[in-house]
Amino acid sequence: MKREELFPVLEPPAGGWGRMKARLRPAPRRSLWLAAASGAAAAGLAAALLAAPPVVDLTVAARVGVTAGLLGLEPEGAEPVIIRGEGAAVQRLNSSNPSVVLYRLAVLEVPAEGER
Amino acid sequence: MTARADERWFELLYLRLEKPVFNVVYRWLWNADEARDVTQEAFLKVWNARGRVDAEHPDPLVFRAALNLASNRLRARKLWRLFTLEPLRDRADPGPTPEAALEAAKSGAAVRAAIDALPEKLKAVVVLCELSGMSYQDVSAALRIPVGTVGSRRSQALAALERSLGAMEVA
Repeated sequence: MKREELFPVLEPPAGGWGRMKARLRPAPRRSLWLAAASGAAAAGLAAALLAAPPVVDLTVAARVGVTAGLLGLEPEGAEPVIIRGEGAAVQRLNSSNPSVVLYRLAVLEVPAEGER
Repeated sequence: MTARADERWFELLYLRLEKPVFNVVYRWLWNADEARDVTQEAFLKVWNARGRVDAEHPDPLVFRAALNLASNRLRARKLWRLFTLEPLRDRADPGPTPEAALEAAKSGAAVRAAIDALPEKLKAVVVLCELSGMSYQDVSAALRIPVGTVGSRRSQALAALERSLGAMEVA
Protein backbone atom coordinates (compact mmCIF):
# COMPACT_ATOMS: atom_id res chain seq x y z
CA MET A 1 0.00 0.00 0.00
CA LYS A 2 1.24 3.49 -0.87
CA ARG A 3 1.53 6.19 1.77
CA GLU A 4 -0.92 8.43 -0.12
CA GLU A 5 -3.47 5.60 -0.19
CA LEU A 6 -3.20 5.45 3.56
CA PHE A 7 -3.83 9.18 3.92
CA PRO A 8 -5.84 10.28 0.89
CA VAL A 9 -6.67 13.99 0.91
CA LEU A 10 -10.43 14.46 1.05
CA GLU A 11 -12.43 17.48 -0.03
CA PRO A 12 -14.36 19.14 2.78
CA PRO A 13 -18.08 19.73 2.21
CA ALA A 14 -18.74 22.71 -0.04
CA GLY A 15 -19.70 26.13 1.27
CA GLY A 16 -17.36 26.07 4.23
CA TRP A 17 -16.33 29.73 4.15
CA GLY A 18 -19.94 30.87 3.70
CA ARG A 19 -20.99 28.94 6.79
CA MET A 20 -17.96 30.12 8.66
CA LYS A 21 -18.59 33.75 7.81
CA ALA A 22 -22.19 33.44 8.98
CA ARG A 23 -20.94 32.16 12.32
CA LEU A 24 -18.55 35.03 12.90
CA ARG A 25 -21.05 37.77 13.63
CA PRO A 26 -24.23 36.30 15.12
CA ALA A 27 -22.58 35.17 18.35
CA PRO A 28 -22.35 38.53 20.11
CA ARG A 29 -25.73 39.58 18.78
CA ARG A 30 -27.26 36.37 20.08
CA SER A 31 -25.74 36.90 23.49
CA LEU A 32 -27.04 40.47 23.55
CA TRP A 33 -30.51 39.24 22.69
CA LEU A 34 -30.22 36.59 25.36
CA ALA A 35 -29.12 39.15 27.94
CA ALA A 36 -31.90 41.54 26.91
CA ALA A 37 -34.53 38.80 27.03
CA SER A 38 -33.30 37.60 30.42
CA GLY A 39 -33.35 41.16 31.77
CA ALA A 40 -36.84 41.77 30.45
CA ALA A 41 -38.08 38.51 31.92
CA ALA A 42 -36.54 39.31 35.30
CA ALA A 43 -38.01 42.82 35.27
CA GLY A 44 -41.43 41.45 34.33
CA LEU A 45 -41.30 38.91 37.12
CA ALA A 46 -40.23 41.54 39.64
CA ALA A 47 -43.01 43.90 38.52
CA ALA A 48 -45.59 41.13 38.75
CA LEU A 49 -44.44 40.18 42.23
CA LEU A 50 -44.51 43.78 43.42
CA ALA A 51 -47.85 44.60 41.83
CA ALA A 52 -49.71 41.48 42.89
CA PRO A 53 -51.19 41.53 46.38
CA PRO A 54 -49.76 38.86 48.63
CA VAL A 55 -51.88 35.76 48.64
CA VAL A 56 -52.87 35.00 52.19
CA ASP A 57 -55.06 32.15 53.23
CA LEU A 58 -57.32 34.04 55.61
CA THR A 59 -58.85 30.88 56.92
CA VAL A 60 -55.51 29.59 58.05
CA ALA A 61 -54.52 33.06 59.18
CA ALA A 62 -57.53 33.33 61.33
CA ARG A 63 -57.07 29.85 62.74
CA VAL A 64 -53.41 30.31 63.51
CA GLY A 65 -53.30 34.05 64.05
CA VAL A 66 -49.68 34.41 63.02
CA THR A 67 -49.73 35.53 59.39
CA ALA A 68 -50.86 39.12 59.77
CA GLY A 69 -47.27 40.11 59.15
CA LEU A 70 -47.70 38.89 55.60
CA LEU A 71 -50.21 41.70 55.10
CA GLY A 72 -47.83 44.21 56.59
CA LEU A 73 -50.13 44.59 59.57
CA GLU A 74 -49.70 43.89 63.23
CA PRO A 75 -52.45 41.97 65.06
CA GLU A 76 -53.84 43.83 68.02
CA GLY A 77 -54.71 40.75 70.00
CA ALA A 78 -52.81 37.56 70.21
CA GLU A 79 -55.64 35.41 69.00
CA PRO A 80 -58.46 36.02 66.52
CA VAL A 81 -61.91 36.06 67.97
CA ILE A 82 -64.16 33.30 66.77
CA ILE A 83 -67.65 34.51 66.09
CA ARG A 84 -70.86 32.58 65.41
CA GLY A 85 -69.60 29.32 66.76
CA GLU A 86 -66.70 28.24 64.64
CA GLY A 87 -68.08 29.58 61.40
CA ALA A 88 -65.97 32.79 61.17
CA ALA A 89 -63.24 34.70 62.90
CA VAL A 90 -62.39 38.36 63.21
CA GLN A 91 -59.04 39.83 64.04
CA ARG A 92 -58.14 43.44 64.74
CA LEU A 93 -55.08 44.69 62.92
CA ASN A 94 -53.14 47.91 63.37
CA SER A 95 -52.16 49.78 60.25
CA SER A 96 -49.33 52.25 59.85
CA ASN A 97 -51.86 55.07 60.23
CA PRO A 98 -52.82 55.24 63.92
CA SER A 99 -56.26 56.56 63.09
CA VAL A 100 -57.05 53.55 60.94
CA VAL A 101 -57.80 50.13 62.35
CA LEU A 102 -58.55 47.19 60.17
CA TYR A 103 -60.51 44.10 60.96
CA ARG A 104 -59.86 40.92 59.13
CA LEU A 105 -62.78 38.60 58.75
CA ALA A 106 -62.35 35.01 57.76
CA VAL A 107 -64.94 32.38 57.07
CA LEU A 108 -63.66 29.21 58.65
CA GLU A 109 -66.23 26.77 57.36
CA VAL A 110 -68.92 27.00 54.76
CA PRO A 111 -72.18 26.43 56.62
CA ALA A 112 -74.25 23.48 55.54
CA GLU A 113 -77.32 24.16 53.43
CA GLY A 114 -79.66 23.78 56.39
CA GLU A 115 -77.76 26.27 58.52
CA ARG A 116 -78.00 29.22 56.08
CA MET B 1 -5.48 45.40 12.80
CA THR B 2 -8.80 46.95 11.81
CA ALA B 3 -11.92 44.84 11.84
CA ARG B 4 -11.83 44.61 8.05
CA ALA B 5 -8.19 43.57 8.07
CA ASP B 6 -8.97 41.02 10.77
CA GLU B 7 -11.68 39.51 8.64
CA ARG B 8 -9.51 39.45 5.55
CA TRP B 9 -6.68 37.80 7.47
CA PHE B 10 -9.09 35.24 8.85
CA GLU B 11 -10.63 34.51 5.46
CA LEU B 12 -7.24 33.83 3.94
CA LEU B 13 -6.33 31.64 6.88
CA TYR B 14 -9.56 29.70 6.55
CA LEU B 15 -9.26 29.20 2.83
CA ARG B 16 -5.67 28.02 3.19
CA LEU B 17 -6.20 25.66 6.12
CA GLU B 18 -9.77 24.43 5.84
CA LYS B 19 -8.88 21.37 3.81
CA PRO B 20 -5.89 20.18 5.86
CA VAL B 21 -7.69 20.80 9.15
CA PHE B 22 -10.75 18.95 7.87
CA ASN B 23 -8.59 16.02 6.80
CA VAL B 24 -6.86 15.83 10.17
CA VAL B 25 -10.12 16.02 12.10
CA TYR B 26 -11.73 13.48 9.79
CA ARG B 27 -9.11 10.92 10.90
CA TRP B 28 -10.41 11.35 14.42
CA LEU B 29 -14.12 11.27 13.78
CA TRP B 30 -14.49 9.46 10.43
CA ASN B 31 -17.60 11.46 9.72
CA ALA B 32 -17.57 14.31 7.21
CA ASP B 33 -20.36 16.35 8.80
CA GLU B 34 -18.86 16.16 12.25
CA ALA B 35 -15.41 16.87 10.87
CA ARG B 36 -16.74 19.97 9.13
CA ASP B 37 -18.41 21.17 12.35
CA VAL B 38 -15.30 20.62 14.43
CA THR B 39 -13.16 22.32 11.79
CA GLN B 40 -15.39 25.37 11.96
CA GLU B 41 -15.42 25.36 15.75
CA ALA B 42 -11.63 25.33 15.73
CA PHE B 43 -11.51 28.32 13.41
CA LEU B 44 -14.13 30.06 15.52
CA LYS B 45 -11.91 29.64 18.57
CA VAL B 46 -9.04 31.21 16.68
CA TRP B 47 -11.28 34.04 15.53
CA ASN B 48 -12.48 34.73 19.06
CA ALA B 49 -8.88 34.76 20.29
CA ARG B 50 -7.55 36.76 17.34
CA GLY B 51 -6.22 39.50 19.57
CA ARG B 52 -3.82 37.06 21.19
CA VAL B 53 -2.95 34.97 18.11
CA ASP B 54 0.39 35.29 16.37
CA ALA B 55 -1.05 36.55 13.09
CA GLU B 56 2.13 35.71 11.22
CA HIS B 57 2.21 32.11 12.37
CA PRO B 58 -1.21 30.83 13.39
CA ASP B 59 -1.10 27.31 11.90
CA PRO B 60 0.03 25.38 15.00
CA LEU B 61 -2.70 27.05 17.04
CA VAL B 62 -5.40 26.18 14.51
CA PHE B 63 -4.38 22.53 14.42
CA ARG B 64 -4.03 22.31 18.19
CA ALA B 65 -7.54 23.72 18.65
CA ALA B 66 -8.88 21.31 16.06
CA LEU B 67 -7.23 18.27 17.65
CA ASN B 68 -8.47 19.21 21.12
CA LEU B 69 -12.00 19.65 19.88
CA ALA B 70 -11.88 16.42 17.88
CA SER B 71 -10.59 14.48 20.90
CA ASN B 72 -13.31 15.93 23.09
CA ARG B 73 -15.94 15.06 20.51
CA LEU B 74 -14.61 11.52 20.24
CA ARG B 75 -14.63 11.05 24.00
CA ALA B 76 -18.20 12.34 24.19
CA ARG B 77 -19.21 9.99 21.41
CA LYS B 78 -17.64 6.99 23.13
CA LEU B 79 -19.40 7.90 26.35
CA TRP B 80 -22.68 8.24 24.49
CA ARG B 81 -22.21 4.84 22.91
CA LEU B 82 -21.87 3.26 26.31
CA PHE B 83 -25.51 4.11 26.89
CA THR B 84 -27.02 3.56 23.46
CA LEU B 85 -27.27 0.94 20.75
CA GLU B 86 -25.53 3.12 18.17
CA PRO B 87 -22.67 0.69 17.47
CA LEU B 88 -25.17 -2.07 16.72
CA ARG B 89 -26.99 0.18 14.28
CA ASP B 90 -23.69 1.03 12.59
CA ARG B 91 -22.96 -2.62 12.00
CA ALA B 92 -26.48 -3.38 10.89
CA ASP B 93 -26.29 -0.92 7.97
CA PRO B 94 -23.47 -1.87 5.62
CA GLY B 95 -24.92 0.14 2.70
CA PRO B 96 -24.68 -0.84 -0.98
CA THR B 97 -22.24 -3.68 -1.56
CA PRO B 98 -21.15 -4.14 -5.16
CA GLU B 99 -17.88 -6.08 -5.26
CA ALA B 100 -15.61 -3.13 -5.96
CA ALA B 101 -17.25 -0.97 -3.35
CA LEU B 102 -17.02 -3.84 -0.90
CA GLU B 103 -13.33 -4.23 -1.61
CA ALA B 104 -12.76 -0.51 -1.23
CA ALA B 105 -14.80 -0.48 1.93
CA LYS B 106 -12.79 -3.39 3.30
CA SER B 107 -9.56 -1.62 2.53
CA GLY B 108 -10.89 1.69 3.92
CA ALA B 109 -12.09 -0.06 7.04
CA ALA B 110 -8.70 -1.71 7.47
CA VAL B 111 -6.92 1.65 7.16
CA ARG B 112 -9.33 3.24 9.58
CA ALA B 113 -8.91 0.39 12.05
CA ALA B 114 -5.13 0.59 11.79
CA ILE B 115 -5.08 4.37 12.35
CA ASP B 116 -7.56 4.13 15.20
CA ALA B 117 -5.49 1.42 16.84
CA LEU B 118 -2.54 3.78 17.19
CA PRO B 119 -1.98 5.34 20.58
CA GLU B 120 -3.34 8.89 20.45
CA LYS B 121 0.06 10.56 20.77
CA LEU B 122 1.40 8.59 17.77
CA LYS B 123 -1.76 9.13 15.80
CA ALA B 124 -1.62 12.90 16.35
CA VAL B 125 1.93 13.07 15.08
CA VAL B 126 1.50 10.90 12.02
CA VAL B 127 -1.79 12.48 10.98
CA LEU B 128 -0.40 15.99 11.36
CA CYS B 129 2.79 15.09 9.51
CA GLU B 130 0.92 13.45 6.64
CA LEU B 131 -2.02 15.79 6.28
CA SER B 132 -1.42 19.21 7.81
CA GLY B 133 1.34 20.35 5.49
CA MET B 134 3.20 21.70 8.53
CA SER B 135 6.91 21.31 9.17
CA TYR B 136 8.22 19.20 12.05
CA GLN B 137 8.84 22.48 13.83
CA ASP B 138 5.20 23.50 13.54
CA VAL B 139 3.93 20.04 14.44
CA SER B 140 6.07 20.17 17.55
CA ALA B 141 4.59 23.59 18.38
CA ALA B 142 1.05 22.35 17.77
CA LEU B 143 1.50 19.32 20.01
CA ARG B 144 3.87 21.02 22.46
CA ILE B 145 6.49 18.31 22.17
CA PRO B 146 10.16 18.54 21.15
CA VAL B 147 10.94 18.43 17.44
CA GLY B 148 12.97 15.24 17.90
CA THR B 149 9.96 13.54 19.45
CA VAL B 150 7.91 14.37 16.37
CA GLY B 151 10.35 12.42 14.20
CA SER B 152 10.55 9.42 16.49
CA ARG B 153 6.82 9.20 17.03
CA ARG B 154 6.19 9.47 13.33
CA SER B 155 8.55 6.56 12.69
CA GLN B 156 6.87 4.50 15.39
CA ALA B 157 3.45 5.24 13.99
CA LEU B 158 4.38 4.34 10.43
CA ALA B 159 6.00 1.12 11.62
CA ALA B 160 2.83 0.19 13.49
CA LEU B 161 0.71 0.95 10.43
CA GLU B 162 3.00 -1.16 8.30
CA ARG B 163 2.63 -4.07 10.70
CA SER B 164 -1.14 -3.75 10.44
CA LEU B 165 -1.50 -3.15 6.73
CA GLY B 166 1.64 -4.55 5.14
CA ALA B 167 4.72 -2.82 3.78
CA MET B 168 4.17 0.68 2.39
CA GLU B 169 5.71 2.18 -0.70
CA VAL B 170 7.04 5.66 -0.15
CA ALA B 171 6.16 7.90 -3.09
